[in-house]
Amino acid sequence: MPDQAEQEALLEAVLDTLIPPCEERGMPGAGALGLAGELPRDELGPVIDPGLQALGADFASSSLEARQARLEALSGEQPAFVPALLFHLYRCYYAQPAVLEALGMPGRPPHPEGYAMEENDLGLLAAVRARGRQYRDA
Amino acid sequence: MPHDPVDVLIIGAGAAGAAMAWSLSDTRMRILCLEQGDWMDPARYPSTSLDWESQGMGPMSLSPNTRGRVEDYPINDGDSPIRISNFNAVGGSTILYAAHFPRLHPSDFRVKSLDGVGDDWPIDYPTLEPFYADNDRMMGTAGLEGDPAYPPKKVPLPPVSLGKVGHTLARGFDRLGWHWWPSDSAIATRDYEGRAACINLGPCITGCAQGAKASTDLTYWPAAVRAGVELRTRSRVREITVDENGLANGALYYDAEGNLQEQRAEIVIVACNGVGTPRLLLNSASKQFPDGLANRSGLVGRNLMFHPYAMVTGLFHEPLEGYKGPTGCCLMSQEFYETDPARGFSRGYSFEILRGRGTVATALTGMSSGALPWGADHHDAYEKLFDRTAGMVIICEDLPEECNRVVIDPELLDSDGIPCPRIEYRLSDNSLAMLDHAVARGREVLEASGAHSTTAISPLPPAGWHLMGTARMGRDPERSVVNEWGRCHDVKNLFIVDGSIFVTSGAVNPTNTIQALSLYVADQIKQRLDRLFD
Ligand SMILES: Cc1cc2nc3c(=O)[nH]c(=O)nc-3n(C[C@H](O)[C@H](O)[C@H](O)COP(=O)(O)OP(=O)(O)OC[C@H]3O[C@@H](n4cnc5c(N)ncnc54)[C@H](O)[C@@H]3O)c2cc1C
Repeated sequence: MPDQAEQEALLEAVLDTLIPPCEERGMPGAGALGLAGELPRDELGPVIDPGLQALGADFASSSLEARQARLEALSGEQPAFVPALLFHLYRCYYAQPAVLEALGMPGRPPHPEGYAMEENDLGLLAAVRARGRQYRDA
Repeated sequence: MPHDPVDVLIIGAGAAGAAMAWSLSDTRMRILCLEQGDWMDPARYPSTSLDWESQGMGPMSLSPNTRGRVEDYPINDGDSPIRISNFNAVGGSTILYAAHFPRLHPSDFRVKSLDGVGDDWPIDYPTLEPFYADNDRMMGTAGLEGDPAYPPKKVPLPPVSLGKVGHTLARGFDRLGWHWWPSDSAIATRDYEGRAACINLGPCITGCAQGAKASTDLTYWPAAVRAGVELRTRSRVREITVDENGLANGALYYDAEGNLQEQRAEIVIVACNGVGTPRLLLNSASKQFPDGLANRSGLVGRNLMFHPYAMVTGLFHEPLEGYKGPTGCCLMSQEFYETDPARGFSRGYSFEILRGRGTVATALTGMSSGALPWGADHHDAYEKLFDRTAGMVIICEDLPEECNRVVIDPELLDSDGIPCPRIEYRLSDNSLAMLDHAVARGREVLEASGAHSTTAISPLPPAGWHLMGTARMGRDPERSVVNEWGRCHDVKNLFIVDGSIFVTSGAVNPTNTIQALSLYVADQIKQRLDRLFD
């Protein structure tokens, strides 16, 4: 049984495998962002703990390709492992300021600043106006 | 100890109850509204935090069963292909609504005469027109005058921003020569009556932190309370009580501590929505009304109409800035609104254009559709999905059928022990044919707008947000629950003013009409005060 620090490192490596870093786009890896601490561990524990044990301590030091292959193999034996993690991971990862910024959005909640939008081009309605009335008499 | 009696008791502080309270507040009557929910605090709405999308799946979910707030009541909708969405608070479901705010068409009031299906309403578009105008002013409707799909009407505020999504789709509609128009939206596009202008936050359907969206806690209620109406929150009505003459004389309700309270009133007005109202009437069975209050016709709860929805989404190559702008308010098309017998179904539908998905929804939808892998290819795939979607919901007219109904569940209770509703609903052949037609046309316009692929969900399961028909209006007491001015045929001092009284559903979002009807019924009450119970 790995100790807690090993377990954390293992989970971080799993998260970095599910969403790896992408330097070109400036996207951080999910593990390196520290998201392991934001997942609902009590809820996830029964689903993911057996899988983490099966992966073993050397998982964390393997290459991305090797880790991906191991997780794919694990999915055959424990089909709920990856989807359960992803459901929560996506909700955390895609709400991180660093991720939003890398996607070209401001790294903040929508309120209070909101977003500016382009002017309406109502000239596009010319064809609709030209067709004339469209409702029935009743 | 009973509370001091009032002249008018309104039950439910949502869209309809608020409009009624405001309109009656210029009389000298003592008016009280009982509402099971509380005032909301917009400063705590999800769009003020980064996890706004997750909050929309939990504590601010559209489904009362998922939210499970103490103010909510559970609804057994497990057997219905369409599930109930609502909200229980001051403002009712307008706290969450998208604020798409069109009117019905004149033809919607004459469905039987024009198309031989459903029933005609006992009132018509010109009757409601002045009340639509009042409601547009009170709610602050934004839009553009001159829509050829409607008789001429004034709109107080300029339209919402179309944005890249809207302009892209508008060009698609133009290519096909189909009708489109900027949506009528209950959204302040400029500062309006103390409400700040819309700043395009996006997630209107988890509550508007800006206060630009016209939920009735921000529109009618402040004015009604200023004018002397009492709004008693966390007060959940168990039943409406009747006297020995069969007249309503008040209500029994539970307060926030779960204590049973009694309230007497001369007039009772029910505004609990198309599911909450039949629930309350059926739960108010008594010796005089063994099948439920005002239910001698047997129609309380029956003829439930939803508007079957489909959602069609297109994937584009270019970013569309779809995270900006009000989720459900952009533009609409009524190209297929009026009946065309050649299409193989009666009546028609509207397209309501939606903005794009948020970052989390993009990932979760990609995961469930299989379009988004995890691992080394994740970011490539995500880039092709994020901010590349635009699409629509399609609002189909639902025809009234007695088999579609709200009944009382034999087991389900709310936290006060009050029996809860169960939904019995199926889609008609007419609805299924209409949905198929609508999805095909939806795909066509998305492709004409530049989408390289499209997906569709039909029917859309969570789309039970328009709740209509369960206490229908009519002149014949055998065939309707309320008369042509909203008074119950069986109980002469009991009124109903929410979507329950719709005779047919039309193919537009109902709230502007629900509120116009409520203002109209209020006006009828005021005009008839000296002979109200004749
Ligand atoms: C997610 C979502 C999106 C929507 N989008 C749109 C849209 O874009 N356009 C549109 O026109 N409509 C939309 N709607 C529908 C719109 O919100 C409703 O049509 C409208 O709010 C109905 O008004 P109402 O007064 O009949 O009921 P509600 O607004 O639902 O109010 C009923 C009130 O009665 C209270 N109540 C019920 N039972 C009791 C009881 N026993 N005792 C005390 N109080 C009780 C409830 O707590 C509630 O506050 C949407 C709804 C949802 C949920």
